[in-house]
Amino acid sequence: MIVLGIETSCDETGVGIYDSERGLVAHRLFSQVALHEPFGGVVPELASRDHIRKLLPLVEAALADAGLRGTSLTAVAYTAGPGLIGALLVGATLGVGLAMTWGVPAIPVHHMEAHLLAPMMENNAPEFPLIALLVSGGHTMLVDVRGVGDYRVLGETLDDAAGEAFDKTAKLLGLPYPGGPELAKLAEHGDTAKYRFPRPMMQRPGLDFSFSGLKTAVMLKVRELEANGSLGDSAGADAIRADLASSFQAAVVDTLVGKSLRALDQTGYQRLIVAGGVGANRSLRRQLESKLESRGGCVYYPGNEYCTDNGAMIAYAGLQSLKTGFPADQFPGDYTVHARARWELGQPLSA
Amino acid sequence: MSAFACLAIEASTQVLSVAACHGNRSGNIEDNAGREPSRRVFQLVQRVLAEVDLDPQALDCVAFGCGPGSFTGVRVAAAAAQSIAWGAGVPVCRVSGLHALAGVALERHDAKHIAVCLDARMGEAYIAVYHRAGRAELTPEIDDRLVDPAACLIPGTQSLFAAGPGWDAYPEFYQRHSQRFTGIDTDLWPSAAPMLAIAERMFRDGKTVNAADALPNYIRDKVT
Repeated sequence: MIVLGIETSCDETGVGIYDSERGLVAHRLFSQVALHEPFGGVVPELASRDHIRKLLPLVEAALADAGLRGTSLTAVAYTAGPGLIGALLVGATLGVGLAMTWGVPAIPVHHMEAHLLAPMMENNAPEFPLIALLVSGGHTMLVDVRGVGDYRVLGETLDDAAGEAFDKTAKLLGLPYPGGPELAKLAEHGDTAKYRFPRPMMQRPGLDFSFSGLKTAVMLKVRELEANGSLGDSAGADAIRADLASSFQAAVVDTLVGKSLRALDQTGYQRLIVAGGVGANRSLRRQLESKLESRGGCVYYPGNEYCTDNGAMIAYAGLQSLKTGFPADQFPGDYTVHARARWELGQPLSA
Repeated sequence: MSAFACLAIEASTQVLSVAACHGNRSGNIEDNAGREPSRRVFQLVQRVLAEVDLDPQALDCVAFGCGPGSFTGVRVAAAAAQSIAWGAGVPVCRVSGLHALAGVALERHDAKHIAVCLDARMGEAYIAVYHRAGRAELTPEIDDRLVDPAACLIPGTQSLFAAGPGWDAYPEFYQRHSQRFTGIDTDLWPSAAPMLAIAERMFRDGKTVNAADALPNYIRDKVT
C-alpha cells in the first residue's frame, strides 16, 4: 500500500509518500517562514495563497522522487483539521480531487493524530499503550494512546500553546521571527535559576496546562529590567537576555516534564512519545530522558524533520487509517471535502 | 467540430456551479453552497460527468472560474481544477468569473455591451465591460478590475446592460450611469455553464495553462 500525504494546515506546505513495504519514499516541504516574517506571525490569507501556488509542484516532485505515477498510489491522505480553514481547504480540495481522478480513497487525517503517530515511522518505534506529549506553536496536550485510533485527551492548554509562549517571549526579547528556536538557542548560554518564573498549574491536580501567566511574568520582569536600564544597549544586556530566556525555558520545560510524569503515574505506562515543534527542544529532551531513565521508562521522538508540520506524517497516518478500516462516517469512494478549523482529537469527523 | 470534452467549475460566489460537455451532451448543476463551497464540489463533478457520460481521463481540458470573488471559493475552484487536470494529464483554462457572468446575461437578455458588477465588500466593487463580438462571443472592453463605486465612472459612451448583484449593492454607482443603461438584471451569478463555450475558444486558440499554473486572479491583492 502506498499513500500520498498532504499537509497545509498552517504555514508549511508538506507532501510525503509512505509505502507499507519500503517506508517513507518521498518527503517534500516548503516553509512559509520568510513570507510571514515581516508580520511577526502567520497571516492566514497569505498562507492560503502560498499553499495553492506551491502544493501541486511539490506533489509532482514527490512522485518523481519516489519514481511513482499517481495511478500507482493506494490512497491520498490529507490534513482535514484542526488548523487555518482557508489553508486546510487548499490541501483538502487538491487531495480529494487527485483521489477522485485516480479512483482511489481520499482519507481525511487529524493533524494531531499524525503528529502523535510520527514517532512510529522510526526504526525503534514504541509499542502501545503510551502517553503522547504534543507540543507545538498551536497545541499543547497529553494524550493516552492505547492504539491507532484509540485516543483519550488527558489534558491540554487552557490558553497559549507552549510554542506560542516561546514565540511571544522571543519577540519580547527582540529575537527574530519565529523566535521559539532562537530563544532555545539563547537559553543554552543563560542561567536557568537567575529568575524564578512560575511553574503554571503544577500546584494544581490534573493534566491541563496554562502558559499565559508565565508569559506575563516574563513581560513584567523585562519591563522592570528595561526601566532600571539593565536591558537595551547596556553592557551585560546580552547576558541578562540569555538568563531570561534560560529561566523562561526552564519554567516551560519543568511544567511539561512534570505533567508528563504525572500522566505516566496516572496510567501506569512506561512509554512517552514527544511530538510537535517544541519536541525538538534539547533541554526538554535531556530532562525527559533522565527522568524516564530513572524510572525504567523510555521516551521516543520522531526524526527531527518530522517534529514540525510535514506531509510524511499525514501519509503515515493515512496508511494506518487504511489498515484499520475507515471510521464509520467515511468510506472509500466518498469524495466529500473535509476541512475543520476545530476538531477534537478522538472525536469523529462528523461530530 | 463539437467533440470538445470539458469540465468547468465556478465557486467565486455563494453559488457553486459545475458544468460539463462531451460530444453533443452537456450538463450543469448549481448548488447554493452557502458557507461551505468546497464540501460538495466533487459530488457535483461526479454527477455532471456521469450525466454527460464522461471519464476524467477523456477530458480535453478543465476550466475554472479564476475570480474575482471569494478568495476561498476561487481557491477551491483552482485546487479542484488543478487536481483533476493534473490527474488526467490535460491543461486548464482560467476563465474570469465576470466574463462568465456576462455570458449568463447574454443567454437571458439581448445586450451588446454588458457592464458586470460584483460586490467586493469593504465598500468596493469588481467590474468589467464585455462586448458581444459574434453571435454569442464576448470580448472584454474594460478588463476586470476593483473600483470604488462611490467615485468610479465607467469610461466610454456606449449604451450598457447592467448585470450582476453588485448593482444592487451600490445603487448610487448605478444611478451615476443610469443614462447609459438600457436594462438591468441583478439576479445573475457567475456560472460554469457559459464557461464551456469560453473554454472551447481558449482551448482552440491555445490559451491554456499547465495545471500547476491554474491559479486564482484575486485582483484584490492588499490583504494585510
